[in-house]
This record gives sequence, C-alpha cells and structure tokens, in this order.
Amino acid sequence: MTNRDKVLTSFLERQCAEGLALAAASDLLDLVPVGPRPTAVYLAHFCCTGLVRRHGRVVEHDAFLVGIRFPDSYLRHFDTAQVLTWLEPWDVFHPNIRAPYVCVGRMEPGTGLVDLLYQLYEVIAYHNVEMREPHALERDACVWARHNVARFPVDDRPLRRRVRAPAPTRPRRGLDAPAQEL
Amino acid sequence: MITHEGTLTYVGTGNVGSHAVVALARTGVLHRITLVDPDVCEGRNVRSQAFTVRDVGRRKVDALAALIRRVDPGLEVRTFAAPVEDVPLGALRADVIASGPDALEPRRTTSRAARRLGIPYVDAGVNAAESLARVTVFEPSPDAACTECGWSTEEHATLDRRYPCDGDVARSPTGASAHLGELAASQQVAECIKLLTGDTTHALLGHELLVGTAAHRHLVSRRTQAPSCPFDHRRWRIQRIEHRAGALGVRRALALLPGAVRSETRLRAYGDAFVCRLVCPRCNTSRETLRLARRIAARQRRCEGCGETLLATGIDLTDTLTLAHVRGRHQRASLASLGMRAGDVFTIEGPDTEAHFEIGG
Repeated sequence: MTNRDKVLTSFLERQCAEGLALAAASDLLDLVPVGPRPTAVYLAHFCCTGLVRRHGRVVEHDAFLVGIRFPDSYLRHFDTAQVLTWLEPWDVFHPNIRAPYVCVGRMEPGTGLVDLLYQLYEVIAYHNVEMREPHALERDACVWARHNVARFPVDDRPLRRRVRAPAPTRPRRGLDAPAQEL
Repeated sequence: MITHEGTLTYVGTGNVGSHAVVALARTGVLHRITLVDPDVCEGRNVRSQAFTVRDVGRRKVDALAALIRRVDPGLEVRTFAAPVEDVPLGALRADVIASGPDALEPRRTTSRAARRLGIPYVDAGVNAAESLARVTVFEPSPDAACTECGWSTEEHATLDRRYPCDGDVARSPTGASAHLGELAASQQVAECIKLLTGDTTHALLGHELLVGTAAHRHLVSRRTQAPSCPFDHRRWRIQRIEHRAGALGVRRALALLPGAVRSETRLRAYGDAFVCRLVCPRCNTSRETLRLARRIAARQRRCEGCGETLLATGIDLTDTLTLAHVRGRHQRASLASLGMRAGDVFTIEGPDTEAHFEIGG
C-alpha cells in the first residue's frame, strides 16, 4: 500500500476486527476473511431462516452465502454491485435479491462491515423487504411478498447472540398455500 | 505545460460540442483534433446540433469528422465512438482538452483525465430552462479547482452511489436550442484559441463565464478548489514505455517500479478494475478470466451453456494485480491479454512509492 492508502488500510483493519467480533457473538453468522491483510474480501455465511423457490414452491432454507468486497474507492463511492455478491443459494426467493445481485437499501460510501452484515441479515430474514415492483430486483417475489406480509420476518432471532445449546430443529415447511403458488 | 502543437481533444459532440468542433476546425490553429462521443445521431438532434438529416443513423464522431475534413482537409482527425471512460488516457493527450457532455460522468472523467495529464481543460454547457450558456477553464495546477469542486452533495451522490434496484438511469436530453449551444460553443472556442496560441493574457483560466440570453447578462466568477472535493487534484508524471501491450508481461510490468521488490508491487489500471471470473446469472456456470472489466467484448461475455450474458460480480473483481494473480494459466499474461492497448496508463504501486506508465505502440 502506498502512503495514500493509509486511511483505507486503517478502515479495512477496523472492519475486520469489528466484523469478526460480531461473528464471534453470533450463532447465525460465520465470517471468513479472504486474501492478504488488510482484508478487503469476506465470505459471510448466514445460518438463519430465509426463503428459496424450488420446484415452483417457496420453502424455508437455512444457509446463505454472500461475498463482500471493499473496493479501493469504497470510502468515496458505493456501488452495491461491486460491494455485495449473492453467492448461494442461487434459487433464493426475495424481492431484494436476484443472484448475483442483492440490494440492501441506500448505503453510503464507507458504510462499515457490521452495518452491511446487519442489512444482509435483515434482507435474508425478511425484516427488510421491497414491496414495490419498480424498485425490486425479483418482481415475482415482490408480488408474493405483498400477499404474505403477515408471515414476515421469517426469522426474528437477533443477529448478535451466542446460544450454547443447539437450537431445536424444526421441519422445513413450505410456505405456499395453493392459491398463492406462483 | 502547453506545448502549442495545435492539438485538441473534444469530449461530447452534442448540442455544444458539435458546433464547437466545427468552429475549431475553421480557426486554422489546429493540426490534430480527437473526437470522443459514443452516441449515434438521431432525428431530434438535427434541430439543435450541427448535423443534417443525412447524418441520422451515423455515429456522431464519424459525421463530424467528415464535415471537418471538408472544412480543413489538412486537419488530422481521430475519432473514438465510445464513452470517454473507455478511451485510453494517453489517447486524450493534447494541448487542450475541451468538453460539452450532457451528463456528469463524462464530465468528471474528462476533468480528472486533464488533471492527471497536466492539460488545461475547457468545459462548456447550457441550461435551457434559464437560457444560460457557460464556459469554465480549469488550470492543471494541483491547487486549482476542478469540475467536481463546484458540485453539490446531490451531484456527487448521483455518481457515487449506485444500487442495482435503481435499474439503468436514462440520460434526458438537455432540451437546449441550437442557438444556445452555439453561444456556449463560440465562447468555448474563443478560450481554446487563447490556450492553443499561448495568448493567455485574457484567458478565463480558473474562471467561469456565464451568459444569460434572456436578460442580456453575463457573469465572470473565480473557481476555487473545494476542500471537500473527493478528487486529489494531482498531476501524474507518466513515463511512456516503448513496449507494445502484447510484448510486456504482467510479471515484467510488476518489476518496473525502481527500488521495489516485485513480490510487493501491484499493478493498477487507470479507471478500471480487473475481472477474475464471469458468472452466468441464468445457469450459474462460471468462467475464469483475467481481463479489464471495460475491455471484455460481448462475445467473451456469452455463456456457452445458455447464451445469457455473463456478469462480473463484485467479489470477482480486483482493483490491482499482484504476482499471485499471474500464476497457473495466467503465468504468461501480457498487458494485451488483460485488454490493455496503446495509450492505456497503468500504475505500479510499491509499499511506499508508485509510478505511472503509458503503453506505447
């Protein structure tokens, strides 16, 4: 890094520390730094409940993977498509997600990693849902979401928590009533 | 530094630019002009720009080049029918850079290019609603204002925040009449001539001229550098290397920084990022690559499985290349294989220093 990048280096080091601290305090998030320090790329595994569409049915899913990259211009520009990459599952069902794109709202340049992780979690768990088609990435999911508002969020656990005992497993359920199948 | 070779680059050949370019060709002080504009002439352009109905469907730069050659057959004309962001920085080099674009992005790119190259920049524009014509002349010194220094927070935000759920933001036409564009163009050409001939006693350097046709008013104001401007205003010392892009390997380029160990250097391309992998949004197949994002051709983006256009996603981009990127099948990667070409500028960054190079050929 040249001298010019000292501010960015400091920012990246702080993000790494804060992001890993959040992951350590959460049983819903696993954060993997990728590449040399200061880390600019992360893989964020969310083990929360979200939705996927399989064989025409909307069903619950509990493993989601998002790539996060801080470009060198991150403190001046925020281009969501360059910062966030939806990786898995490809058949995720959400108005704000159409792989590989995910839209978490109006972020500012320099938004911290922890903020991004919270925003992602709130999207995946349907705390944050875009209900208007013109602003949605997946318009089918938008229509579906408007008819199923009462079911949201699909996961209301807080992201920052650490549960020692394993959470009780519950059978996955399909969320579609026949009349609402897409 | 002005070299007075009679060369000028013009970016954006629409309402202001098309008139300015023709007027510049008539001055007789130019030996070479470079035109940059990605657009094709449409029927609606005929009323407000220097095109005729015969030009409809032609690329604007081609139509203007033909017109200029009829005005001054001895004038060398180079054209780039592409956004200025896609034009190699070195190809923009001239005694003066001028512009009259209809959007913020090309204005910012042109302003930054002029500053990096150390070239005076003459920008012009119109405000149709208020019948205003504007010309601003920016000095290339590091303490002088740039285009972005005068932008509002909202204007910065327009360019600096992008969300996929916004979709493509279409540019709206300026709606300016031909006479307003011609007024801005004539003032702009007058300033360009001063810079090209070295007669800068009354040049607008560091100032802005605003002419209002509605109430017969004109205003000259000084432009000062804004402390909050996100641009660093630095001029780059760019070394031209005689290697062609195909003859210079990435590994060799990484060793160009004097006094730095190759394993600690990084290669950065001016104005672009490198794509390491392309992904198909339909069938989720991926393909490894190592190329500049702006230099991936449409055929290279086609998914072999389903025909969909492959995407370069955020996590598969990198701002800089290191030795780690040129291993395996990319061991022999050259600057040409990355999509670089003559005139492109790249930077080799070390732990404490950096150097800028322009590809020859």
